[in-house]
Amino acid sequence: MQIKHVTSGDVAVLHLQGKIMGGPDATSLHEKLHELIETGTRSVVIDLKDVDWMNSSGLGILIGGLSAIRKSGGDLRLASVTEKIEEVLRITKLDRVFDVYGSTEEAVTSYGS
Amino acid sequence: MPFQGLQVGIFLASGLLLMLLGSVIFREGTGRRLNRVTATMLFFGGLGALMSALGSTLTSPATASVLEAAGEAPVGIPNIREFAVLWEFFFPTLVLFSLIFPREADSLKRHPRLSWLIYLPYFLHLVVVVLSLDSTVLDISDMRAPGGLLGPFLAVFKMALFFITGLLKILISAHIQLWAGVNVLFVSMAIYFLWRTGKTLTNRRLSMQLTILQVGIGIGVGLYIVAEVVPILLPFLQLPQGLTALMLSTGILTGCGAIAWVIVRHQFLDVQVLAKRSMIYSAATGVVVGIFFLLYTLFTDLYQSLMGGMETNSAFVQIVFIVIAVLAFQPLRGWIEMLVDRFFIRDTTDYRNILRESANNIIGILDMDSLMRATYQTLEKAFLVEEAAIILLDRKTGAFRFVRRGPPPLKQREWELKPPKALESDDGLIDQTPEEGLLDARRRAAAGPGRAIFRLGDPVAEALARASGPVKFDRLTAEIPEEELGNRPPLEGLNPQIVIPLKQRHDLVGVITLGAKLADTGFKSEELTLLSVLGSQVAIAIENAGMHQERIEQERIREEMAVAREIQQALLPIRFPKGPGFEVSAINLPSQEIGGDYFDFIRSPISEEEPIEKLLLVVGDVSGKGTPAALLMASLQASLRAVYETQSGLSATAERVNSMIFRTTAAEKFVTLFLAEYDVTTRTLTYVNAGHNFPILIRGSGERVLLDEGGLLVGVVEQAVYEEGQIGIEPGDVLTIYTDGVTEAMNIREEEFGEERLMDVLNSRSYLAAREIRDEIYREVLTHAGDRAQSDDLTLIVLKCL
Repeated sequence: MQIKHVTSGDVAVLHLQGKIMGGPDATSLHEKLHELIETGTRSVVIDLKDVDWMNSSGLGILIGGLSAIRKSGGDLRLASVTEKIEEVLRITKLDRVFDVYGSTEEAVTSYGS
Repeated sequence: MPFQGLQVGIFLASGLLLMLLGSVIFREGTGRRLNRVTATMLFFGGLGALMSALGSTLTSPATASVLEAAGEAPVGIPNIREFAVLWEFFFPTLVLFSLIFPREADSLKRHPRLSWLIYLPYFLHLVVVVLSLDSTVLDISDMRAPGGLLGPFLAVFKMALFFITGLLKILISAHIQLWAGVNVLFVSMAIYFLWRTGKTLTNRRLSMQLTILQVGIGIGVGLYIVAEVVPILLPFLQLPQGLTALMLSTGILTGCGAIAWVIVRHQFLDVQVLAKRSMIYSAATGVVVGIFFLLYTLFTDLYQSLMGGMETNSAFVQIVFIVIAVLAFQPLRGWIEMLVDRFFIRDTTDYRNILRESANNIIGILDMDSLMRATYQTLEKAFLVEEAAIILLDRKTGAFRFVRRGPPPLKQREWELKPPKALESDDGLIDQTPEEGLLDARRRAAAGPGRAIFRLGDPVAEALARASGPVKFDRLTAEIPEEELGNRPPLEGLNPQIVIPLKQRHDLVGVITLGAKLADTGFKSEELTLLSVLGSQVAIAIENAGMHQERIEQERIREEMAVAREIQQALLPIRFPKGPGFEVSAINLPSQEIGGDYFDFIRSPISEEEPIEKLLLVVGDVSGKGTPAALLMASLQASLRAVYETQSGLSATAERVNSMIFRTTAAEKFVTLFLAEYDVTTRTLTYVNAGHNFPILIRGSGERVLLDEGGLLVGVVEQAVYEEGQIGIEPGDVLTIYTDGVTEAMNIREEEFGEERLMDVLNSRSYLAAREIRDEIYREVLTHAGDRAQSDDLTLIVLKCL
């Protein structure tokens, strides 16, 4: 898995690529999110366009990141979710927890409103 | 006196030995100040002993009587002892030595004249003693009294002069008597300087050398005090002369011997060879001198017989022989030494011992930590260098990191502290002065591996991989094009002189760096050979240790997995409930890593005697793997069972369990949970699906229902709301609850088993009994997956209504 970090205004956009599995992937995403929180970022968008697979550890990282950011008064929103991951979100009912947007732009602008 | 001969012998032998050692040390390394000072000191020490020998000979009654018989008064003989003032230069030299061992003191570096200042008192002493010897300078008794007007005046002057000279004589004699005290003072100073240096030492070998020095010198001066100083201060306490001589020579020998040993050990590593060599050399010299005297005697006899037994002045012969001696002695001696070297000193040099020792020690060590420690100790023992480090490759990341970086053998003084080097902030040992670096090694180790010094593929790594053995660091960096090197080549901060690549076949697995030698002598070719062999031994040992570590790691994982599996299996029901109007079958197949699947049945009433009225079916999937997952599973089971029995209704149970799990686990941990309560009497199924794969209900009619009512994954938010779903069940209906281990089972083409295939099995096999349906699904999954190892547990419950 690779992480590309882009800042768009006050919003940090993380483009993830590959599979989000446990182990090192989970650790690097976890570290990235906590780094953002520590540097005061409150609005995060995770772009999942190029993620075709996520296991339970990957899901755990997203959940952990979400709860940490919400605790600090911010939010983590998902964008461009692939079918497979959308299904995972649907089954786990996490689609009720995460705000999911069709595109990164939508997700970024959602913070403005 | 029987003592006399012994006394002279002891003095003579110890004097010669010391002078010899001094000359050997001088010859071994003329270029170094430490060697020159040590040699000078040993020379003066030896001179002291020889002077004493000479003094004893001349003052002995036997000699005196011989001299008297010859009609010569023993004039000036007591003065021999006074000449001993020359040997007392030993003491300032000792102080100088203590200031430059093992490295020149900063005060001396800044004020080079200080060394002359140390000698100044002894020069003055020498002048005073020489004056007192030449008694005529002060002897004014035969001064002729001039007449005339000036007579009375001169008489007064003469009187005054007489008094002054008398006073001076007393002072001088007191001075000579008390000078022994100054000697003791100088030795104390030397010991103090050495002690002060000792406090800054971190290297065990150096500390030991210093201790030997101090003890040796201490014993020497102690004996000197007892033999020389005590009798002066306490005149009634006179020791027998023989004993004094014995004590003096033992003192000189112990003190100087300790110094010589340490110097030889410090510089040349090999005291045995040197001692052996000096003994053989001296024997050889003795033979040459013996032959010379024999020839001389023979020749004189021959010359005299030729001259017809006349009493002749043989000055001519003497001159000829002196010329011969001067011309022939040195080449002859050199020739003998060469022969001696060739025949005697080719074996047992120290480095081979170190090699053998390390071969025995290092190769057999399987624990990486101990291996690195032993390697470092071997280096420390063999080479006294400013800095040394072992750097190893981390195969997972391709980074080369420090595994051991020794403290320099001498702590730097405060004003010498270099500014933190760039390397030190790159390598993970951030913001530490060297002092802190020493103190905080443990904290650093706890903080995990440092940052990479260089990586595989870096120019330095490539150059090291190309090197076939130990290389000089500047030669290594010279190989790398400048634009690739950057302005700060890695490793430079270690000030390495020699780098030893550790290679397994052609792959670089690490590097040992050695800084400059403390003795500043450079690396000899035989030392490079030692390093080369040592390097390949260490590389082999690293490979062995690595394989061993891997095995241990695998074993540890296997054991951990066995524990996790044990926990999991202990929690899962062994027997499946059987009731009126339904049958249940289940299977759980843990994956290699234990995925944390969980299933359970809770019947009510609890008593197994009575028929089941309600049956709770539970399937859960805990996030994570291994022991943590198994423990979370256990905690889930405990909370679920406790809550289910006290709460009414599944949604309340789910909500309660959710907040319990949320509070006891990290945010990343969660559980997918499916709870279904089958009421036997009403044939209704009430369920809550908390983020679990939708269970499939296949009706007898072929209709398919997915059970998706419920709520969020358990443990994600503190307060979640769960809705209950309810569905009527008819005979022939089949409910299949499964975990993702079923649908995500992959074959070698990375194709998942998928819901479609599961549905196909269910559609075509729902007429079978629950156990048979379970087996069919399981068989299909196994057929699909083939030999591919599965990463997730597989759990399946099949409920069939009859």
